[in-house]
Amino acid sequence: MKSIASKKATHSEKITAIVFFALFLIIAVISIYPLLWAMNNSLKNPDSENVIGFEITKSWMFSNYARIFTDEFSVGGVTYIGMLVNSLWIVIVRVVVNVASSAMLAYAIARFRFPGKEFLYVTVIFVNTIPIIGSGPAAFKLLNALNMVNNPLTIWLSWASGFDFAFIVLYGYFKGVSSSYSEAAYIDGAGELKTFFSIVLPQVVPCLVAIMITQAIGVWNDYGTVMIYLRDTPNLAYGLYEFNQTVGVSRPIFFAAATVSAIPIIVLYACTQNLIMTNMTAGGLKG
Amino acid sequence: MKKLLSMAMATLMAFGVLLTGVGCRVKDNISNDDKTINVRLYKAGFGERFLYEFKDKFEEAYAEEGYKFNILTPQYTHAGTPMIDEMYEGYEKKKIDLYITGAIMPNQVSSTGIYDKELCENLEDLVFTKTAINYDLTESSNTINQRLSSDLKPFTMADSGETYGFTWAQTSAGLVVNTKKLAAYGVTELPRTTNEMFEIFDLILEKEAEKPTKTHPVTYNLSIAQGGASTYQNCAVESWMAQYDIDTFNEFFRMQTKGEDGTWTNMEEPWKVFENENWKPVLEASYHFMDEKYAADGSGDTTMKLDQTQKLIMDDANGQNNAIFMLNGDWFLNEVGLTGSNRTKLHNIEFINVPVISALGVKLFGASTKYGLSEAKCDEVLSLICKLVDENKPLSEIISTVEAEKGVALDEADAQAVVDARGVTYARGIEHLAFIPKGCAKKEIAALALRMMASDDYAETFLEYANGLSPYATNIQKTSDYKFVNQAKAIALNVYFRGINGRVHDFRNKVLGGEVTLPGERNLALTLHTRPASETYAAAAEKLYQTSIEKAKQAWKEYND
Amino acid sequence: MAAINKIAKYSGFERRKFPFIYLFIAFPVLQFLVFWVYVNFSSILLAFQDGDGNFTWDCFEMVFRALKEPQDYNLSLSLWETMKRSLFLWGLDFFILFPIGVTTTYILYRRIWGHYIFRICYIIPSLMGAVMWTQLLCYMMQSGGVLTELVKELNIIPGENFTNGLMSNPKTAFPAIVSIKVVMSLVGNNAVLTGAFSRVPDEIYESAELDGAGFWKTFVSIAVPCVWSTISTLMTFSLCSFLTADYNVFLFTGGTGVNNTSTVGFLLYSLTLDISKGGNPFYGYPAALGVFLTCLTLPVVLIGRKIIDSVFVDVEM
Repeated sequence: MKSIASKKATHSEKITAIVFFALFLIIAVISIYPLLWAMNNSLKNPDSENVIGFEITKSWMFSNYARIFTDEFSVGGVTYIGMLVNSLWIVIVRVVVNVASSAMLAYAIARFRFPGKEFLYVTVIFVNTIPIIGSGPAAFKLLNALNMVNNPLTIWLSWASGFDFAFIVLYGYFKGVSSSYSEAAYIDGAGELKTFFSIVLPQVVPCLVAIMITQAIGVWNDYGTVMIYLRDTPNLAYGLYEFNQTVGVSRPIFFAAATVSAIPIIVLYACTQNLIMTNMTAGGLKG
Repeated sequence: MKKLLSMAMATLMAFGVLLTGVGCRVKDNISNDDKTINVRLYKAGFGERFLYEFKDKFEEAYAEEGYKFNILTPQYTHAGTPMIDEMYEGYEKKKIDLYITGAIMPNQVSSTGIYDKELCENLEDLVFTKTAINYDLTESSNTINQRLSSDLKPFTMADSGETYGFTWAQTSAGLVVNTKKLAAYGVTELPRTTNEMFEIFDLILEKEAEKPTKTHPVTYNLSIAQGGASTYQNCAVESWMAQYDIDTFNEFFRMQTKGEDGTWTNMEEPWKVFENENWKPVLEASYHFMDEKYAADGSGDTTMKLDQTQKLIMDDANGQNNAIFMLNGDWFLNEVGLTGSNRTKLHNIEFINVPVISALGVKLFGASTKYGLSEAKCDEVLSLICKLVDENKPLSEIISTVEAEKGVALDEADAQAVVDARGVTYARGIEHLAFIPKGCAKKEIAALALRMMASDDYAETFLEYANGLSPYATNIQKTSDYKFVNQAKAIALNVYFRGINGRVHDFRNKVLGGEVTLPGERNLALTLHTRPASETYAAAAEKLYQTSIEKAKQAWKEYND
Repeated sequence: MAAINKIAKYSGFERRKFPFIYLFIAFPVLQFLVFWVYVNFSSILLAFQDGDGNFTWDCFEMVFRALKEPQDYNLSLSLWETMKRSLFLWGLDFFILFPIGVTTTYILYRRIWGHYIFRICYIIPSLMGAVMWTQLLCYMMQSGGVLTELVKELNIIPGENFTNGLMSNPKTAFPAIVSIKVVMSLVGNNAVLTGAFSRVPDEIYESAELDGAGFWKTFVSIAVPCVWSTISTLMTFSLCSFLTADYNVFLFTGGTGVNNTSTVGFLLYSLTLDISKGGNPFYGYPAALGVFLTCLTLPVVLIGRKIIDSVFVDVEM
């Protein structure tokens, strides 16, 4: 396929391309400016410069970045490194459990016939397309009663829904993946579990990874649920919020921490962009 | 590629699963040793260093017995309802022996409190009727009850009479002033009445009018988060209310009347506490103080942080978008921190009590009284009395000096009214209470620690490392290098000192549902700040006064339904 | 089709697999029963209970009162005004930003110069996440902050000094939130949509272009119908949030939602947060509010889905 901006493009296509290019450039600047602004301000000296202004830093205080890793930046004794570790395990556990849960359900429904299959499928579609609003307090009440507030177990159980968007993507995928390999394996005497793990899963790995990365980005940045359910294990998103509420914090350190926290996720995305683009698709909500 | 991805995924999964167990939790290094008490500290404006200093002294004093003072990582969230929840979970589970916390009222932990269960030990016999213990284990000659101002004691007690709280900081709220910037306008005398204060405000406004970037009279922050920094404004409002009459003030915040025997009973029509002509001038002064024209840029922003406003005060060059006055407290110095350039800048920062409301002068000496003084003259008299009160002059001398200097012969009662008003100090420290949870196995050791915290020795530690005042010390010899600290000390140790605090009481809490000065005004400062410019202070005050009465009536009706 | 399935008997081969299948789906189904079915069911029950668990209509009465005047300290607006704001944000997203998003994604997919870099730039706000992005913007919108200075410089609202920044001025607070939403969601579905576009075989575009169809014609009559199933899925998801956008107001207003900025999403979140902080443990009002909003949303979602599904017949590939 030719590019909209290729040499073969027609005259009007070229004009369209130029107009949109200009537009895109503006949006790109708007999107990236806050990060650059934060980087700039993270290098300022709070005593002598306007740390929220436009001006380019005069002090170039790179020492602010070193200070992130000292006790100065901590929420209840959890340091930046601690929050980083928390962010990591919260992301990994939540994403893995969630995707595993969705994958099992999607695989079962997409590949087998069994009583209750249609009902389950319709339920998933129903859950995803019919909103039930305001169950937050009830969920809190339940988890509180189960002693799962402020308890890492809550990620393993309450956040591990298999009935969500990942199901819809994976269902489509399992439907599309040829079943001849698994049937051959099954006939060769492999058990169902072995077939699933050694034949089926590897075929959908790119799709799984794509879902996981997109979910990971969301979970990495999730402050809301951590603020309510995992207060004592602050991740970076909630930790930064909480740190920013503390009296007497240094603005440049906050900006430095924000910059440092954003970079890994941006690099991760930049590296896996193509993988995500080519493997994420969602279609067919027919119930 | 797929193989690589699978490998990467498997590794990550294993990694994540492994980490769940070792997640970095907020650390509580609870000690199970039966001679070690575990102490929760609310990391407020006083910081944490003073307690670590105290810990050393305590452990040194009880080296023989082997008592240890284990401070759990202090946090600014170690206050309010989360701590009550923790107490409710029970001593057996939490193993915390002493809560040095804040924003918890004794009623909340009483049998009629949040959990309808007595959560703390009664400290009356354990601590208050005992003597204070010095660092060398000698004991004070008086009991702790005798050492504590009688104004402050009620705040440590539940309505039912038990003493659950131990106040651990005196802490006056007041005005923080940058006198270096103020001197640039030729002002050297700090205001003692609201009119004097507003005159200074107007002078600053006038001198700065032409400048492109200005120095503003005041700054504040209206964020509800950050320990309710916006409530610093309430300290002024409530001080002005109490300056009229402390009993009415207490009734206002309890919705109860005090009987002969000192017990409080619920009012039959509690909304009526809002019907008081004195509140109108108070609200008027409040609107005046919070007028947007006086405030530094950014003050009205709910996302502006406390330290951003404090920085506007610390800034010592005139005409740089900064400010001169700020309602804060004697913890200011500690909160901004004695580091870097602050060491020198803090010498320009001074501390004064909330000025006396000028309307009180008019009420006592104005045209409708037998003195028949003009408004300006009323304020002069008011200001002079305040000055003499600050100098700890006896009442008779105050009366004779006023007659000599102003030619007004005051009745003793009228002079006393002003003296009382000037003595009013908003004591936020009584929001900082320590508690021993119910069933604490090491309560005897915890009580020893509290008794030591009531000593003169501790008062000096607290002054040195927290720049704060202990509520139990009446003669601290130590002086600070900072004028600010000595001024705060003078206010707290003034012979006419009367600590007030509008912390909402149980009954009022139930009727109005929340900690609010006026019904429905969770952020009173914000309401005051957002007066339409076209409205006069008096008109705005009248409107707020009327709606408060209406809302209180409504709330009372709903409470009865 | 469904009818045939019901009649069809399961073969012995299939029956032998049942234990495995049920084992496989046991965790997701159990999880769902507890954390979705039970939670939502109890939420609905809570809406009809007072503090002691007795039946009452009070919670709904509160909701209806809230429609007219603010019932909650976190809310400076009545529920009705709050809903209007949420509705506005949703409408903006659904009718304007989403179509623009589809178009821009398509143009990026057709490899305009720098498409790779653009994509990364656009996604940066979502990558940085709400906390960092909004806290940075909060500072930018304070007095002396770069955005406030810009608005002042351009004299967008004449006569305003913005001494307290953009978020504290009722004239600019909500527009500020709206413009941030625009930036954040303009290319929000980029990943999924690009995936969908790239599944359309190149030959389809090429044959269209050989027939002389221009860029826009190809887009409207080939590309969009080909990915309609994805677009309709995204639209359906969006429909579900039709009354509940957008809870990041929490971060923008220091947790207060003042200056006419509160939205339903913010209200629901702050009510839950209040409960989790150990404040007033009254579950009835938020639960009743939820039931009320669900009842309003349901018909819209059902009708909306019918309309979306009837636009194009799915193009099978």
